[in-house]
Amino acid sequence: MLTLNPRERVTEALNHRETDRPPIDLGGTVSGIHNKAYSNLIKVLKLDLDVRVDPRDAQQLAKLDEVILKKFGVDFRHVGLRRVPSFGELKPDVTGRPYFIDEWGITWVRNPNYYDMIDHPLKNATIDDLEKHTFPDPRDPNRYTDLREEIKHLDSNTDYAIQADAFFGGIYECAWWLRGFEEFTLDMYRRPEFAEIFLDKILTLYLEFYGKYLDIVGPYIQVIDYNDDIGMQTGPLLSPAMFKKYLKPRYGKIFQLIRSKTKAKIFMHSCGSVYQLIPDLIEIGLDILNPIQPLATNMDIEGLKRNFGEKLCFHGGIDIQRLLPNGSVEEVTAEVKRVTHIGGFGGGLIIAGAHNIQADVPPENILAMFEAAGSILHKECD
Amino acid sequence: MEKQEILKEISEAVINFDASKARKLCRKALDMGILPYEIIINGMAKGMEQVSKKYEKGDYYLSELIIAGDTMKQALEVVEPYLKHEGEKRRGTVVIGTVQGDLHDIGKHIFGNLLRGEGFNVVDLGFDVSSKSFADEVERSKPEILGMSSLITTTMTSMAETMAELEKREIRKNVKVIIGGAAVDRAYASKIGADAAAKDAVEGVSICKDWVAK
Repeated sequence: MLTLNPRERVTEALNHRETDRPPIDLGGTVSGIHNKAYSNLIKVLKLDLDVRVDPRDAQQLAKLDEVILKKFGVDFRHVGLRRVPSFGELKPDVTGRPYFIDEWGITWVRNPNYYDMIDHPLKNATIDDLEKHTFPDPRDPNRYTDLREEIKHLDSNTDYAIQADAFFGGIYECAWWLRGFEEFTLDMYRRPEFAEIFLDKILTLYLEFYGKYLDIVGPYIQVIDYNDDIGMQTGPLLSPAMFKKYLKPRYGKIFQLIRSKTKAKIFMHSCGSVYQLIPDLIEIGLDILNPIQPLATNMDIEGLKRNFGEKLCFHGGIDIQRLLPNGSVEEVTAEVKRVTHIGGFGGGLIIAGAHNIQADVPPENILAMFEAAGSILHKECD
Repeated sequence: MEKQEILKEISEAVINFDASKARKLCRKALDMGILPYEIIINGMAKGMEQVSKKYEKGDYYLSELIIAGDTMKQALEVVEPYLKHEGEKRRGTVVIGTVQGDLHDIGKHIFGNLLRGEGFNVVDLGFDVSSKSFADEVERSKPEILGMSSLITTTMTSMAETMAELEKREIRKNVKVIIGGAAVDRAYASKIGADAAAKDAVEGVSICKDWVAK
């Protein structure tokens, strides 16, 4: 089989055609690496690099260096909207921990490795309050600073596949991040009028965000992200009936807008077990599901490939809950081969961690993962 | 209305997530002279048992557990003031918290609500709870059970620190320890010397009920 360049490899794989090796991803907001793991990795590799991280990034992901991406054979480069500078000043709370309030009004406080939200600005809101709340402005030009130049450069001067990262959590996450998880769940059952109006307000904003984002990046990208955690370890967070009532039609509108603006494949991230919702997601036009968290119920690549592999591509698949932090190098290598052989058969797989590589993952396992992914040719799988 | 009949209706109101009906029926049951503890155990907890069974079978989801929990919470508000006059009769006390460094408390909160609905006295220490705070509360409240939750692999190690703190203060033998959260499993419970690991809030409540029934 001919060796493909990264963009060709990704395009082929996403069109369900087998490639010389499965495309590899590292980067973006859901397939990145925590700055502590990155720091350990570059030490082992004896690279003289500064670990760069946005101080207000909730996930505290490292900004990746080209030398690492090249070494690991990463086929993607990621682009995203810029953080608006006027928001999110870091301050110490009463215990001295840094916190910030983001442009949605959500309060995030630092724990040892991340920021977690601890307060929700609309927790006591009425329908009238929704009108008074200041939501982010998709038209703010600061979000798009130099984005056109960056994407044109990546398109013309490199042969990497380009993935446009999501700008925030999805509409479900946005709703409960603003309201609180239990409160928004209660809204869906006990205050359906509020839930509908609230979700529509968020949807309108998201359509404007995606519209403006894709007006710039749409012609150049191969993949566009929509991220919304709707799964937990054992199953969906909300019932399929609630998903169909509140989320599916609105996801459909977002996907429809994306389709009208770009030929890129639609990628959706949801942690956990979303097996039961996959037929609905395929129906509204999802192309790629991430992160294929193998320890979540029914989310192992084998069953997913068998049941949905003809219509859906898979991105991720390498366990970050047990294997990467605690497994041996041999176990990591074996699992990467297993996932690749099953998921990559006939194309349709992009190999990556089943979420960001966390702070406790040893560098040896990171190296083993990318070495195994990069060294596998499909002829070995026959 | 007969006693058994109204308790059954309370149970059905929980199953149907009908909070206002559950509250009305609880008031009526109290007026009829039914003891608050009995309303909880033979009324709302029976309903919650059915909800939990549906959840375990996959007919109900987390969202339904939350709504059922909210229904019980609202019904408990009616009954609880009277419970105090009854000498705080409860199934037992459970101290719960999300471990140090971890601010994820949705699952732990649901666990607490379900325990309350089952007639447990719950002391919720919140999130980012240090091993010292867990041990202090075990000394203070003398609970039958301590429950620790951790979502992420980088914070689950602090459960071991709490176990060591309980041992150091020689209070480990006084309390059963259950752990939960996506990061932990039975093997980890066994490794750190906890008594059980629950895969979710429903299984956790079932384990706690078994422990206090023995």
